[in-house]
This record gives sequence, structure tokens and C-alpha cells, in this order.
Amino acid sequence: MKKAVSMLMVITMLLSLAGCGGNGDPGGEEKNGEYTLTVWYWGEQEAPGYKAYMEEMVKRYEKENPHITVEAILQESDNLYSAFRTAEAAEEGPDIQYMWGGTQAMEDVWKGNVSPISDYLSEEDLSVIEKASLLETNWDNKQWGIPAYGFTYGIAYDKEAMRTAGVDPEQPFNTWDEFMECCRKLKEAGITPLGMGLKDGFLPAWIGIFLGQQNLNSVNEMIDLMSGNESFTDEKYAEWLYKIEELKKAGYINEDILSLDLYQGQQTIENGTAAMTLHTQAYAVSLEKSLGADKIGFAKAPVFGDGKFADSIASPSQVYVIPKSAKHKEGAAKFLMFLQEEENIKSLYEMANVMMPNVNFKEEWLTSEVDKQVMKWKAENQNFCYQLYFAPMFESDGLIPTVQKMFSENLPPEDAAAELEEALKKCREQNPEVHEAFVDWSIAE
Amino acid sequence: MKKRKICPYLFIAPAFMILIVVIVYPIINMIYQSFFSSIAGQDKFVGFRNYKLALSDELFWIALKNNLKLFLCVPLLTAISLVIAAILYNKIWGWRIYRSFIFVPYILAIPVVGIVFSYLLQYNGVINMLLIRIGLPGLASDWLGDPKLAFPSVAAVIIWKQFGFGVVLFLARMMSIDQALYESADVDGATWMQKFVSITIPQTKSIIEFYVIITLIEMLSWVFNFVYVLTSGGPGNKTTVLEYLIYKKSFGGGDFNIAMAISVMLLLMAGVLVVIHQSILKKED
Repeated sequence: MKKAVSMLMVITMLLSLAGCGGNGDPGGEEKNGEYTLTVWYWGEQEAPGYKAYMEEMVKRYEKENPHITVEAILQESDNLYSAFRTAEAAEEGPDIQYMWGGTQAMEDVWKGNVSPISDYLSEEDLSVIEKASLLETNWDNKQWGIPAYGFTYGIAYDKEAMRTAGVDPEQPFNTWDEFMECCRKLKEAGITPLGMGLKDGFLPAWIGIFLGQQNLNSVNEMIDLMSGNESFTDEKYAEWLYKIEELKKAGYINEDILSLDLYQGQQTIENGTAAMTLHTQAYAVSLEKSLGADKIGFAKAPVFGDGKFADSIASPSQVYVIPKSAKHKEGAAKFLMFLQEEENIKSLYEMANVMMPNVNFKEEWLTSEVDKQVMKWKAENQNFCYQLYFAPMFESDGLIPTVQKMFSENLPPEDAAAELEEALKKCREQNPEVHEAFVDWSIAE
Repeated sequence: MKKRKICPYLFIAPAFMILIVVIVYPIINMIYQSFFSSIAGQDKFVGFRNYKLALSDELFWIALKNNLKLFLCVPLLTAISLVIAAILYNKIWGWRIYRSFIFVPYILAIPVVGIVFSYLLQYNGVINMLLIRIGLPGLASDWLGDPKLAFPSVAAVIIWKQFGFGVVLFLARMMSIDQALYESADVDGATWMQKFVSITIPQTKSIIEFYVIITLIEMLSWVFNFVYVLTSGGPGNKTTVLEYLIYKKSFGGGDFNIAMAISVMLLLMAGVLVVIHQSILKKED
């Protein structure tokens, strides 16, 4: 009897273990053509209203396609990539995954975590999307990502603080000298000029986006730097580190920068503890809507460099990809094209203040002063986003600790440049295969 | 006779199978994968390259050094726990309430503790506000942002969170010490300190050894949550520990293979501590 009970226990256990090996996600299975499409997305943090937009899209799509259920799950910044990579390693990823643009998306392409979207969409389908945006995730003659939305980086500022400091709130600065003068006046008026948060490490890339590209004349110069053909210690590439030092020494940055995360730093403008912060146009528009156009302004990065990209603007796209383990790749591609339909890109703008890089986007839809200004910048200036061309691991292993050290240990800019050069060398050594793919992608760019 | 030999194995078989699936297989797979590099979904055998790269990375040594520095918390934790347990053992007024309060931090979730302390320790946080209010503005610091203070601040939070476990553990052992020993010492006129040194500590020796080894293992491979929530390894990698480095390499940068090589090394280090623990237990037996 005892033996029989033991055997039964063993068999039960073995059967339950065997069950673990199978596909434990019945939601992903098709039953009579009915299935669930899972979307892991992000965006509410930089485009307030994106969650409501996504929920609206899900509702519309399910109405049009009653046999499909869309399960859209909003991710946190911290686990956007970690959750995806863990799921992908277990081949249990979603059908659609949101990713930050440039190398941040391509890294997973090169690692083999993504399926080419062009296998499921024709060139004609993709022709509604702006070419420049498509190129950001094009590699090996294949399209890997499709824009979730485009946005523009800028400096959001408190117009009231500018008035108090005696600075023209409509045109506070254009050049670096004017920017420093503006900061000086704000400080003299008892206002902290810049509010930022460095603790979680997202900020250094943002600063790079505003200042890093100013001496560059072409994308290739950036690739040369990342590939080791040029050195970070060269003044052309390192000058922006000296600008950080200038701001820091003059006391124009909030004292608690090391205690705050990126978004906490950006909120200093809302809670009135700083006059300016680095932000996206989408967030500035949401502030403009809640506080009023006479309260919030949006400026381009101050110009100090002499490269062709000195007065460029950064207008990248965040993207959606179809993971390799996705169970409904065709369904995923169809949903992504649904998001590109004119009515839906209009809803995206109305609900989340972001513009889809889509040829059907109409300028007459614009309602915000900030957006009208951004449109003008886009027409007049080149578009270049410094962060899109970071070599894999460069941000986490190089840029973040180095810029943190500039603030926490007073690391001089020349030493910071040397550390970044070393970090780049390490990134190339540690990821030779990925780096090869990176250079390949960059050249195609 | 034969029946008696097979039966026990059958009983432990289910648990053994679970261990194989959730522990042994992942470990073997991790060791195997640490010799490969993945690109475009294909695994390429690279020998010890991942280990060489990990060992030549300055960050690995910074992280290891930080783990070793955390070992310094162990004597501190042990001493604090022992002294508090000894005080409570004397059944001071309200000792049961104190025991419960002391244990509260241990049962709190680490992310909760981390978030609360990151607000308390901010430059414009509650602690600095209090220091300024009581006329000590010179002591107000950026506890998590200052490279000199960030690591001690994290260590202090770990000690605050963990010491309750030691207190409860030691107190439980002290409760079972033969009272006759203390009574004899009282007859001999021994002071509280003499009884503590000559009776309490020797009698709790085996538990102290167990606690020290367990806490050492925790400091090596169980502090990720604290670092992640409080400092994200910063500023400038000053609080990065091996677990956080593994996370950063794998989920932050998608470099799973190097992360696996570091994991294997961490496993070996933890393994050494486990062996020491086992040999101490054996000696005790």
C-alpha cells in the first residue's frame, strides 16, 4: 500500500512537471479564429495621455475585429527592457513590444529577439510612414520596427520665472552665452535655473541629446566616434562635457540632482523649484494645456558648437517591434498598421500630444503653441538625435557613471572624456559581434 | 530490506525532481551558456572569453569590493543583535512589545523600505530637514548622492532592516539556556557582563555561527533589491554590487552571456561560504 501511494505521488509529480514544459498560455492559442493579442507598451511617462489613447485604440480595434482581444499592458521605465528580455529568453514574449528608438531597439534585433516587421508588411503598407523614421530601425535590408510616435526634445521653462528674472519669456535664449546670461539672471532672482534628476541614470543621455551633437557635421562622425576611429578626448566630441562643468560650477543646476530620478527632476518646473528642465514636447504641451500657454514655454538647446548639427533638433521615434517569440505575428503587424490609420494618428495627437511620423499627419490638426513652434523648428532645422547612435552598452557602462561622477566626485571634463573613451573601448571588446552589426546598421543609415 | 531502501527515495523523489527543474537545471544551463555568445539568436562557442571579459572589467572588481565591504556589516549586525537579544532576555518591562517592534523592519518588503529610505535620505529629505531644524545644518548631506556617504547609507539601511532577524534568533536560543547556569553565576556574584560573556555567548555559539554564515551569504547574494531601489548602483558605480552588475549586464544591456559568467563566479563564492557552513555544522555534530 505504502509503495502504491509513493508511486502515485511520483507519477503525479512527474505529470505536473511535464505540464510545466508545455505552452502554459492558453490566451495565446487560436480557438475558432479567436485569439488574444498582447501588447507591452510604454509612453505615458513622456507623453501623458498615451495610456488613454492605447485603451481607445484597443476598443476601436476590438470593435472592428470582434474575434480578436487585445491585451495592452503599460510597462514601467525600469522594467521595459528587463521584462521583455526575460520573457523572450523563455519564448513567452508579447506579440508587440514597445522600444525606445535607435540602438536601444536595434540591440535586441542584433541579439535575435525581434522578427522583421517587413516579413508581414508590404512596402506599400510602410509607405505611409516617414522614411527618416523607418530608417532608424532598418538593417540588413529589413524593417524591424515601426514608429509608435515621434516626439521632440526641448527645454521646457516657466515663463513667470523668466519674467521675474527680467528675461524675455518668448525668446529667452538662442546661443550658449544667452543661455548662461538667462541662468545668471534667474539665479540672481533667487530661482534655481535648471532642475534635473540624475539618480536613475536616464539624464546623461538627455544632456547628450541637447549638447553632444553640436560640433558634428554628419552621422558618420558620430559613427567614427563610436567605432573608435575618433576619440572622445578630442575637443570636438568632449566640448559638451565642459559645458556641463560650466553650468555646475556656476551653480545653475539644482543641488539635489543626485537625489532625484529623471522624472522627479523634470517635475521641478511644475512644483516651482526650478525655472527650466529638459523635457519632451509632448510633456510641455500637457503642461501648456494644464497651466496655460502664458505659463509654459519650450525652447531649443542653446547653440555653442560650430558643426552642421549645432542648431539641429532631436525628433526621434519610439518604436514597436514584433518579438521573435510572438504567437500572432501577422495579427501584430495588422494592429500596428491600424495605429497608422489617419483617424487614429489624429487621436494619438489629440489624446497624447505626440505626432506620428506619418505622411497623413496634418499640420492643421495642431492646437498647441508648443507644437506649432516645434513644427517650425522641424521645417528649418536638421533632425539628429545623439542617443540613437550610442554603441551598445555605452550608455549604461560609460555615460551614466561618468556623468554621475562629474556631479558627485567633481570629475573634471577632460577625465570624463578619457573615461568615456575607455568605456567605448570596453563596449567594443565585450560585444564584438553586436558592435559589428551596429557599424553595419550605422553605415546603412 | 530492499523495500526499505527504495521507499525513502520514492518519498523524496518529488521534492528532488522539483529541485532538479528549478535549481540544478538552471545552474547547469547557466554554466553552459557562460561559454557562449549569442548573436542574432545563434549561440557561438567562445570558451572562457566571457570570464576573461568579466574579470578584465573594472566594474566587476568595484562590485566585488563593495560586496566584501558589505561583509563588514556582519560583525556589526551580530553584535547589535546579540546585545539587544541579551537585554530583552532579561525581560525588561515591555520586552514582548519591543521584540515585536524590532522584528517589524525584517518583515517589511525591501522595495517599501528602499522607497521610504530614499525619500528620507534625499538631499531635500526628512532627515536633512530635521537636522536643519535642530540647528545642525552642517550635518545635512546628500546621503545617497555623495560618493563617500552613499555606500555607508545603503549599508545602514541593510543593517536596520536585517538586525531584527538576529535578535529573534538569538533570543529564541537564549530562552532555552539552562537557568541553573545563571543561578550558579548569581551565587558566585557574577555581573551582567560576566554572565553575558561566560554563559550567554558560549551557549549561543552555534546559532551565532549559523547567523554569521547566513548573513555573509546574504551580503554576497541578497542585497540587489536594496541597491536597485536606493541608488541604482550609483553615484558613479559607488554602490554597485555583483548582483546589480549581473542585472545591469543582462537586462540592462542584453549581455546575458557575460552576466552568466559573473553569475557562475558569484555562485562559486557563495558555494565556498556554504561549504564553510557545512563544515562548521559537521564539527558541531
